[in-house]
Amino acid sequence: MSRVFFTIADTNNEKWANDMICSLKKFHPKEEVILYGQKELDELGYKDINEFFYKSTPFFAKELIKKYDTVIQINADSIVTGNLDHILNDTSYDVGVVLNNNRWDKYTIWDIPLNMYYNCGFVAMRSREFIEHWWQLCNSYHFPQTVFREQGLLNIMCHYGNYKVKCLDDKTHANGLVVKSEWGRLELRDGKLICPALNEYNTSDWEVSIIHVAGGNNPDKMDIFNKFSPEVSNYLKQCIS
Amino acid sequence: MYSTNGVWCASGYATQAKAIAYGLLKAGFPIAHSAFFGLQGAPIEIDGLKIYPQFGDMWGVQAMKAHGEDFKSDVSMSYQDVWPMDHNLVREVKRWIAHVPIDTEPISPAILERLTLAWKIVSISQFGQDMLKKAGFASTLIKCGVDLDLFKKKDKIKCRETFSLPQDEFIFGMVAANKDNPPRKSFQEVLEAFKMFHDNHPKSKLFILTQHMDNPQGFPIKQFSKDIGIENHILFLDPYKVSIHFNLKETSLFYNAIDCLLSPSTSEGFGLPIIEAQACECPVIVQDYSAMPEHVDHGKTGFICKTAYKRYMQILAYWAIPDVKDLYKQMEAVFTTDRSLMGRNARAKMEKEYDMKDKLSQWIDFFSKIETDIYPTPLTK
Repeated sequence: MSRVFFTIADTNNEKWANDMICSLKKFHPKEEVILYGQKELDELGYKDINEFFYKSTPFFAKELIKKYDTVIQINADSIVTGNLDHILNDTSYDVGVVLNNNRWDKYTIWDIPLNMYYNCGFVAMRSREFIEHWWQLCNSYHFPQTVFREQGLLNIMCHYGNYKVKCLDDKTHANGLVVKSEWGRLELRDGKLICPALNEYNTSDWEVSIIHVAGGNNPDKMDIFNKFSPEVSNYLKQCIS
Repeated sequence: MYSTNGVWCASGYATQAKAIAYGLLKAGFPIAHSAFFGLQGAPIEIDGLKIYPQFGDMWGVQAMKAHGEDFKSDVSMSYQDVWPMDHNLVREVKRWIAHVPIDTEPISPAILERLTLAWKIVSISQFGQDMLKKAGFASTLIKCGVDLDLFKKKDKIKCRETFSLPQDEFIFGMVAANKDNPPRKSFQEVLEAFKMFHDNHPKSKLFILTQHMDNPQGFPIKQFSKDIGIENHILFLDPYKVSIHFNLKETSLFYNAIDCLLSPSTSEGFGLPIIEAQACECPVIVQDYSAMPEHVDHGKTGFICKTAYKRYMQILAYWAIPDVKDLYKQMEAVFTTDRSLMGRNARAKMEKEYDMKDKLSQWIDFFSKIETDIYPTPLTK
């Protein structure tokens, strides 16, 4: 079973992408990772593709799925903070997705419940049909009408399509924005990053495998270390070092 | 850039900010002060501290940004309630440090919404830090401090003479702004409890240090006192004097003149009078809610009264209403206790946990770490 991770980053984001790759390699040193940086983007002529960055995941995935069984996109503004075996060893899904919302952020599309709206910051794809369908929609008249573009269409496909969808955030794991509202209370236990259970939010402890910053193209947005406890902040810095 | 009330103003914010600003200045940090309340027109300098005037919005956010850019500040810290700050303006402030009181459980959503934009958060109470953590926010804890050279035990007789107080009566005191109704400072409950106390102890008074005894927006202290028959036993100073001429030295005399400070507020982000009074060896009575109880060892440095119930407010958080009967019970307790011993205990606690000199050391450490983070190669000061 062949597998590849990929990420996309223009010049402004290449440093964060390299940090993300460094963190991924801490936990999965043998995984293949492709960075589509400024050079690759320029060679592709990305500026000639309308709203390229809002459809870039299926753009690259459709080529990679020809060579790999599993294609995983991670946003460059992420830090891998734990083992991803719970995702990599699971072959039951066509697409594995993560949640977008948390205690602060409440977005959705159509009538998808807030606690089931997915984020495009981490997408694990095993179905060529899914990826091609997604790409087709990103080039249709639906695309410009859809809030958050490829992400909105991802949600529509997952909730209204006929694909095997797995939400990778569950009772024991958190991968990305679902813990963004909890950064200040994350803690380390036995070398793992944990979001402790809280009645008001997560009723069981979560092992946090990915920290995703999100929030657009603000150049200062990765200055996040003050938002964690000193111990966790140091851990994150070790992950990207 | 340090944005807060003008450091010469008569507010808890200003008292603390003055010590912090001048402490950092003395330690060699390049610091300027944006006084969003108390100065208009043009910048001034007082004892080496450059002070910028009010500019733009009334809560000082535009000023913090503009003056910060003028001063070329690396970080901007605000010391104020954050809920009224325009979050679109706050978003534009470079490395905003929110030095913030948290006074309710849960934290009001309006506060949380703004704190998501903070680069760093400094909590002034353990309660605040605990509430922030529960809400998902990391913070540094640096409690408020008290000037132990200024706030200390003085001759009670002379202090009572200063305010023309009777020497032979038991005097409770309050230091409380009267800005709202329902009153955050629990004026009604305090007056009701004092009535119960006074019925048992006719030689007693309640001395209220406030700028507005009958503020139309506040609690009608005088009228309510009259309605419950204790108006002749409520003492206050001339509002003009309190507003314009009352300084920290006189506040210290006030604590030394009274027998016990009553501070059972419905909520407190800190409650500076609680530690000022104890530094003067004056016992205190607070309520068991928000930041208040962490400053008092019940039965040892003062007393903590129970909450009757919690009222859900428009800020989408709770105020706690003190139990009048329990408040009265604690007032009887302070009357019968060895107040000299209690006062000494209180002073010892303040020396151990609230010395402003220790707090300044924490602030210097805090900013030294920030300086190292921003400039890993040492700057020449």
